[in-house]
Amino acid sequence: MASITTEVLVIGSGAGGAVTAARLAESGHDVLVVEEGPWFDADEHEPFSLPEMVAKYRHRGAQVALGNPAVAFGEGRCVGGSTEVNSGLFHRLPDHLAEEWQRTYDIDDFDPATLARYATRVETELGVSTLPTAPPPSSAALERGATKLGWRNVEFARVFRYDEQGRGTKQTMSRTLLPKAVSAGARILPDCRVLRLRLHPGDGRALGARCERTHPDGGREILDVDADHVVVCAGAVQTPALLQRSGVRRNIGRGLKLHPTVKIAARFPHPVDHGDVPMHRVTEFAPHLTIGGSASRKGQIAMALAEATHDIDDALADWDNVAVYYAAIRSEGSGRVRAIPGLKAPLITYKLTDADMSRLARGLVHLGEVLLAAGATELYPSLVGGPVARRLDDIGQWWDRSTRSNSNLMTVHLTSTVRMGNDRALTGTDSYGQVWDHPHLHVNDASLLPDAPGVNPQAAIMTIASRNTEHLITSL
Amino acid sequence: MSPSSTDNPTAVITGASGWLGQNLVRALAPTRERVRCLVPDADSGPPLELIAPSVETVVGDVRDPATVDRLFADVGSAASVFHAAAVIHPRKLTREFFDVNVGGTQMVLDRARRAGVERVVHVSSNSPFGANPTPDDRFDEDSPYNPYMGYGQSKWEAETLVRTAHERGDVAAVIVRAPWFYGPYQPSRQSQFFTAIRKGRFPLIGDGTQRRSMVYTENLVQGLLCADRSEKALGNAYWVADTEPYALADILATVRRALEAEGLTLSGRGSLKVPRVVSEVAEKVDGFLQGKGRYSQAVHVLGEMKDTIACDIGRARDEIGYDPAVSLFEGMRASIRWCLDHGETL
Amino acid sequence: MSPSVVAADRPPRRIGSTLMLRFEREVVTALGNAPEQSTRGAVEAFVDGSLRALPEPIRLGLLGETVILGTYVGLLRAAGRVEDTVDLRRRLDAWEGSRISYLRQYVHMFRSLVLFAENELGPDATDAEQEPAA
Repeated sequence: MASITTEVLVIGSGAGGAVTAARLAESGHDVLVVEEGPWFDADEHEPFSLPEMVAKYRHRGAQVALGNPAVAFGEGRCVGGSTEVNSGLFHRLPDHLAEEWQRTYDIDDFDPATLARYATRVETELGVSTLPTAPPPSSAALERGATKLGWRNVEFARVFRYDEQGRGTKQTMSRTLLPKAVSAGARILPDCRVLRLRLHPGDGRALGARCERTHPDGGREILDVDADHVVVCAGAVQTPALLQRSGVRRNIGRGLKLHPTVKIAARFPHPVDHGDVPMHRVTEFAPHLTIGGSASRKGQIAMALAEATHDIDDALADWDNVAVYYAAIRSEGSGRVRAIPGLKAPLITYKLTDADMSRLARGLVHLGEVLLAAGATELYPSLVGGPVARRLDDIGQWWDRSTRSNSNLMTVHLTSTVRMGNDRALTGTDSYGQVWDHPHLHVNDASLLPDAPGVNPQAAIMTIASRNTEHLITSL
Repeated sequence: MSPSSTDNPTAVITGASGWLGQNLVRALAPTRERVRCLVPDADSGPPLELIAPSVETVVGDVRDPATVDRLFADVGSAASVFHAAAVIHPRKLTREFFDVNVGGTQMVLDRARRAGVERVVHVSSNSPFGANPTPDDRFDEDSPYNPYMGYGQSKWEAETLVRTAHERGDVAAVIVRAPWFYGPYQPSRQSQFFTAIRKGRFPLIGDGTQRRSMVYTENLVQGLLCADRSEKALGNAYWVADTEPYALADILATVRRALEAEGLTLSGRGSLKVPRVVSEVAEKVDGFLQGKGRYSQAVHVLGEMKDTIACDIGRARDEIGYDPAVSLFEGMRASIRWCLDHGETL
Repeated sequence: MSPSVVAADRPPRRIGSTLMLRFEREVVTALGNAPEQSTRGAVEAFVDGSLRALPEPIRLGLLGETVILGTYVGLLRAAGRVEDTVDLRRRLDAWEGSRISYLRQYVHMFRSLVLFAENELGPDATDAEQEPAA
């Protein structure tokens, strides 16, 4: 049995873990990052491709929150976490949410002005920008359709840096903060899964973790890490699962929040692009409803077409003219993550309310409207039995067709399973992510967000993680 | 009500064939050049069109984008929209609340914006405010939101959409909050209300001192027209009700007098005395059912009957000139007379 | 838990595994559209790998459904009601519209895996890449 000693053990190398490791290392602290997934060269896989799903996602991208209806989702599992596989869209936490969360959860120093300082630093470090050139057709379609209807729409910025030729590179954690952390002395151990946290039996203090490390030849060894502080950054599903497995349960794993989405595969009379996710969003119905674009390789297109009908051959042959779009909601419902003794994967459940289902139906209808206005000739909704729409008259029936039985939902964002704040009835950690009743044990990822933010959470996660790490450093 | 030469020549009415809508169409038809009505099915159109040549009907669903497009076709800026389409008592599932009350409102606001209408008058309810905290409290325009059940939540969200649309400059809007209403054109299921009271079988919860604001349809229509005409109204919400809230016991006694005055025979002892706890249980059952997406009108109504739900119409009086003219007794007589004239057995 | 579930963690050493039950293989064949045998083989390998990679609670639930549905289809076969792959496909298509959510989700999951793999591995995939690193 091997063992390593470190000052701060960071579990997970995604948006939260990378910020935590970089800030700590740059302040001169000894940091060890353990990451369950492998390390990959950031250019090795085509985004959203089958090899990428197999290599960089947990369970090859096939996960589900059970419920009526179930909600499918994926989690990144690699050095850099979900930042290596996401769209890179970057949007600060809306001010009104920061204020609402500060009030409801009694979070110290959580006003918009304070958060803006941390957000600005993260954005400068990563490089956040809009496109230097005209938007690609799949994105321009949203802009065109929304403008025609008089709906507010905007190009979201992304964590991309552009070279002189205008070629963009997504600024993932493995390209940015993790190398920074390593340069400042941090160590990163990939292929290293934490089995259990080690906590002091008396006062619950974090002592380290027991890990299982997989070597390139497939062999495994147990690795014990001794640490003065442990920061869990494994994501909104794995963080509560790990805490529960380690005997930490109070307000852990409840209150899971998603951005449930419905989709439409839209066929246009012209070719569209298939490499990047559209950067335009229709914000007319925000914060409750947002409309955007989704990965549209041939594989995703085939799946999206088949949601509505079995008769997809014609549209699939024409796939170069098809792109997939979504409508996402802020959900009133919530879910749970439950570690199951003896099983590696937790059980995840989610309950959608009737108001949620209605909002999803509304999203589908509005999404249909904007795509028709953009010139789409056929719309394949994510409803069992469709129907496929070709004119505005066809869309009204989607309201009644959008039942729990007919809906195929997915989410790419999960948050809120270990909420932060001083109100102990509602939270699993204090205002800065320290787990209640467990000194030196912290959480610093999407689990902390008290609710789903209605926008891509990466910016909020990194802003909050940055703030929390600065606070942690003052106590080290 | 005399026509004002500054009224918008076009009125667009959603929910036109409903209880409130029928009263509203009849009030607007003589004084507007064009009254464009949304009705849910082909049968509901002709009776409205018979009212006056100014009445036009569009058949369809308020949630349906193609329908609402047709509703607003050739409607320009010289128009007022009266958005009364809503589900108060769904047939079975609470999902209908959100689809129609929120989804339908969004659709109407969007098309109203595109048409550039002069204003939207949105019909809301007491339900986003729950029950008064004490029997003497009265809701006014500064009262906080406290939505009651699915209907309350959906009407609350609808108000939010209307206010957002106004604040963003999409449409100029006024919200009118109407409590429990009564009057001609009531749906036939409402006859049970009169029958039960006539036979002394209507439940009187507790001591009957809890107060309920009610509004006679003619009074409500007057309030909507004031909201349509008043410059001051824009961007505001107003409570529109009869002059004073009534004690539940008085409501039942007054209806009995009205029934008698219209020549019907009373029986029974006035009302069925029911302990307050029955209503409390009904509220819990209502909450349970709605949590499962289901709805029972009887259970819902019974659950609300212990509460004081009462408002103050002072601001509507002061700011938009609202002045309710019809009393409870006269209003109930008119309702009863209407039912009898339309072949209802009470 | 049984050792075969823990084995799911190791990188797949061979294509085809006792964990992918025969009925599941039949479902993949029935839902497949690719004319080339090489693509069909790659699709089956992909689905096999994906099933083994599923979260255990989900994989166990799916196994249970496979046993029930496989038995049911076996009975239908014995009664001559399902003769060939086309019949099975028709049945699967119908199940996707079933009132029973487990049935719908079962077919939906397999169809999604098959469609994704076919269209990302076949000769006219997005960028006609080679087989995935297993």
